[in-house]
Amino acid sequence: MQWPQRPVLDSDVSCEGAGLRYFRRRCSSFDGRLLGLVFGSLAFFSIAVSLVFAFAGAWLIVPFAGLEVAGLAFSAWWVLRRSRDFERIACDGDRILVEASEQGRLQRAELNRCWAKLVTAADGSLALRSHGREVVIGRYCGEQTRQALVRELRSRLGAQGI
Amino acid sequence: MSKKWMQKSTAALALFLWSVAAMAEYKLNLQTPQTVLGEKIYDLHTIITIVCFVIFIGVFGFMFYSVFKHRKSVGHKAAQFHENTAVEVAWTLIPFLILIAMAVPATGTLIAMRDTSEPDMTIKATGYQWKWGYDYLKGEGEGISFYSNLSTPRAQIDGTDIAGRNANPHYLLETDTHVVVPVGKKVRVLVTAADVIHAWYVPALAVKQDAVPGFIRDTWFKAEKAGIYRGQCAELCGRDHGFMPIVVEVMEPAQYSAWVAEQQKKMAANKVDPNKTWTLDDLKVHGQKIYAQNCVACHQATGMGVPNAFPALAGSKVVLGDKAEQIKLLLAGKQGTAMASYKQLSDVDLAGVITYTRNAWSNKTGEAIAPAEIKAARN
Amino acid sequence: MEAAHAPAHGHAHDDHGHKPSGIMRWVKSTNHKDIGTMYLWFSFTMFLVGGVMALIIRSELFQPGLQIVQPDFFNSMTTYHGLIMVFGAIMPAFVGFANWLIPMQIGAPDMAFPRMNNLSFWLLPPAAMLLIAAQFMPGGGAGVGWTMYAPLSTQAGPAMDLTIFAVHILGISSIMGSINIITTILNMRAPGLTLMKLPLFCWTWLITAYLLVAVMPVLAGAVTMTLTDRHFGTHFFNAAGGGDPVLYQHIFWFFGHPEVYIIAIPAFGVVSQVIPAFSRKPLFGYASMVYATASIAILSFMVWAHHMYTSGMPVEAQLYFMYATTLIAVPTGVKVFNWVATMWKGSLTFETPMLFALGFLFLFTLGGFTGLVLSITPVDVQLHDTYYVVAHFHYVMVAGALFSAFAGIYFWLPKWTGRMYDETLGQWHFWLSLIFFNVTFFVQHFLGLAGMPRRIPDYALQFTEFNMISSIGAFGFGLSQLLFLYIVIKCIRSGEKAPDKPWDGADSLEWTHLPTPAPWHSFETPPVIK
Repeated sequence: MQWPQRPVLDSDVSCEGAGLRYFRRRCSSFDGRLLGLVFGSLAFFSIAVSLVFAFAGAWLIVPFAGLEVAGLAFSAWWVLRRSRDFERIACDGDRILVEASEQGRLQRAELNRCWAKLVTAADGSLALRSHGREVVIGRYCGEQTRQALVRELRSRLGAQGI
Repeated sequence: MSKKWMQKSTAALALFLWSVAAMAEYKLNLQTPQTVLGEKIYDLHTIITIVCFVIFIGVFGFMFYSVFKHRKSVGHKAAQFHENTAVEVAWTLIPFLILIAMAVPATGTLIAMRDTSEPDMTIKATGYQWKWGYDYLKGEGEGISFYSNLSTPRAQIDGTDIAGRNANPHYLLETDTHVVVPVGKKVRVLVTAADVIHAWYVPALAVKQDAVPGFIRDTWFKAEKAGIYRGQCAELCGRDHGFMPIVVEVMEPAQYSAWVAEQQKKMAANKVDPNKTWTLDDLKVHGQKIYAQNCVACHQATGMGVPNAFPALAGSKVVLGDKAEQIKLLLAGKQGTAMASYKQLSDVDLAGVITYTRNAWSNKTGEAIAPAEIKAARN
Repeated sequence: MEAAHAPAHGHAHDDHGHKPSGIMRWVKSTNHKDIGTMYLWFSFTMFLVGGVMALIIRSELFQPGLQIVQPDFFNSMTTYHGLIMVFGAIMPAFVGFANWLIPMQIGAPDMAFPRMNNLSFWLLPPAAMLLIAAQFMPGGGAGVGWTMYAPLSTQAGPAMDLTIFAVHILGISSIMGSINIITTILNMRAPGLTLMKLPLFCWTWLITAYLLVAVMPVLAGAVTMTLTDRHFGTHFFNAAGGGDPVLYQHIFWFFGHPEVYIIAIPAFGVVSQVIPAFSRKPLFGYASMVYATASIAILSFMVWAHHMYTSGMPVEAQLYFMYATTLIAVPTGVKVFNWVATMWKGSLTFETPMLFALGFLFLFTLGGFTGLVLSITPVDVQLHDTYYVVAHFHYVMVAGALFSAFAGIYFWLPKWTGRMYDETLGQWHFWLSLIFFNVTFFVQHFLGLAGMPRRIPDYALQFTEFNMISSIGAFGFGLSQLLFLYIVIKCIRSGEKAPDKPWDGADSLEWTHLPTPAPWHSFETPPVIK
């Protein structure tokens, strides 16, 4: 196993002249088959074992196995819903395009570069505001990347923000 | 200087080896087996331990060679290999073969160990909190029945008689009655319990069997040599788990027959005349004996119990209240507490002990409970 | 398209916001490092509590007779020493390692479910409180043994109810922790980090978490049935009502045997990281290590009744369980051989982590061999419930799991705190622990062979000398652990600054890709693994 020698902690905001391209996905090495196999076999095993014991007279294991399978199912559902989440920002000419997929729902917003400004939304997340509308950005990244994004956006926006 | 040191360390080593050898006679290994099966188990244990020891020396020979030769401080450069299929297959297969070789004698011994068929005599051992009860069910001595309590004096245990303890070669391993069996006869032991799980364990006879309440398990032994063999309850069974030993006395057949005759005579003599009328004093005297055997461990000789663990009987509401309630309690025990059922005791014993508790210490009800009342309550 | 932007849910939020301060930082923390630290301190505290209980036991057994405690209290000590060490000390210690290391080793910013992570830690202190409070219930703690066999447990006092409740809470915590670990390892890996490239520590935890999820409902069911037998008139384990006390043992050990590996397998993982690092050589037989660990896990479901050879079983069942149990020696042997082969022709140095790893290897193998002796049914019937078994499982649990945890702590302490521990003191800690451990437990083999049952507060005079030696060793071992506490505090407060990679041979991501001390969020951007 060979690791790169240098830490790769740089931001992946790329700038080409005045243009800006930004893309982040949720940290997810999701592999549906693997997850299904692991969670599915666990659920199957727990239920099967509890049924065997129930057959031997100790039926009180069944409800606990049931609860656990519910927990497994919830976790799987949670991961599945979010596995394809991403966010991308493009800034070209006068337009800023923000596209985000959250829990499988694709959301798009187009803002005017001259009017948009960077704000902190009510819940503390980073957002772009223009014409009374707030568009959350900077979701799936850490503090360093977020600061790099703020730096790059600030130099391009018309209005003063944070 | 160094010569002196050498001499000293040699002497120390010799002393150490001598002490190990001295202890080896009786302490570093399983007890000397007194049955053929026990010898087989003993040998099996020796063989497996030697096999393990040899593998251990082999593996850690490699490790320590590596520790001394492949260290950085002697300038060893690390090789970078990280697999070798042939070696890996070999060290998977070879242990597997060793295991098969070990399983063969183990299988034979296990099957022999579990073969309880065609016994010469059968004894039932019942575990109680905290004593053993024995019933001779079949074979010579059929019908003999007794309890076996720890006979080490309380004073030796709680430290008021340390000299007595130190002088007692069978401290905690002595009982008031012995399980007597003849030499050379296959004895099947049916093991069960009345309250919680106990285990009937006599190391020299190579038997250990859990006593499970409500179920009967069996084991067997055939002692080859007359003698007294001692064991203990081996399954945690509550407060006095450490204080319910087992003493098996193996006798020559003639002696055994004499013992049986003596027991049968004693039983006939002890047989209580069902029509005897018991006076309050008779019952109290009899009851005090029963109390000392069965109750004193928890409720104490003072009748004061142990605070927060075992209730006092002196001044107790149950003891001073309705006698029917107390009889019921002794017959059924109390669910969820250490108070077990004592229905195994005879009507006279129960009547005696109840009478005793109602008239001892500060309790002065003046009531005598007739054995007939117990008999009636049983139905 | 106009789209309303709902605020982002889930853990993405925890990425921003700065490190909070004060006590609330710990109470509300969703950061894997904070939670890992809390797990480790909690486990050390419980280790001291359980240790004091062990010392009470050993004080009473220092000489024959009842001098210090009464039998009921003694039984309560053996019970809670076991429960607290297993559920309060060893398991949380390795969950602490998992929290600290898994995200760093797979290139993730944090665990998959940070809030659940917080909850699974904060369930532990109340459970520990219940176990301690049980001592003060009327009648004292439940003297039933950590196995809580019915019907002794159904007749125990109210302390038993608190104990059952505590076990439930610990079980919930374990299940949540395990689901979190499985999901983290499967779903948060850096691009290119395929399963067969995972560091072995992650592999062992993936397998351990699988075992935990598989058996925890069984334990919960077992204690619940004890509870309903006690209070709600059921008769699962009561023969008088048609139940079977031995059924409890089957259920308990169906959980209990995998539990043994739940403790041992992460220890294998730690050692598999430490030995290559100080041998300056890659782990020998990585793939066979993974397969051996998985085989041990699978076999652990098939051997439970070897704890019950004397409970009464058909001879065929005893034969089966004997064969299956001896089989475990094969994959375990493979692991030991692989570790030795990793050292072979390496370039070895012997800093404290390596010393503890070697102590683990040597003594765990010894415990494995006594395990093999015990797996042979006729021999086990002689040794079952004697001190031989006590010696055996302390070789596996203390010299196995605990030594491995010490190895791991010395190994990663520089990365966690940014400071080096005192090497001289660390080596003292190792040698003292090693010597006193053996003084305590080696002689217990002889006690067991000679026939001394376990869990007795007083013993026949022939056992006196070895018990005395064992008690002296126990006090030495206990005191040595205070030195460990001192070393850790000294390291945190005034240790020398540690370099990013203090160990030459360490090769997992936390050493190669992260600065020392590790940053608040491990990997903001996943590294690319080739």
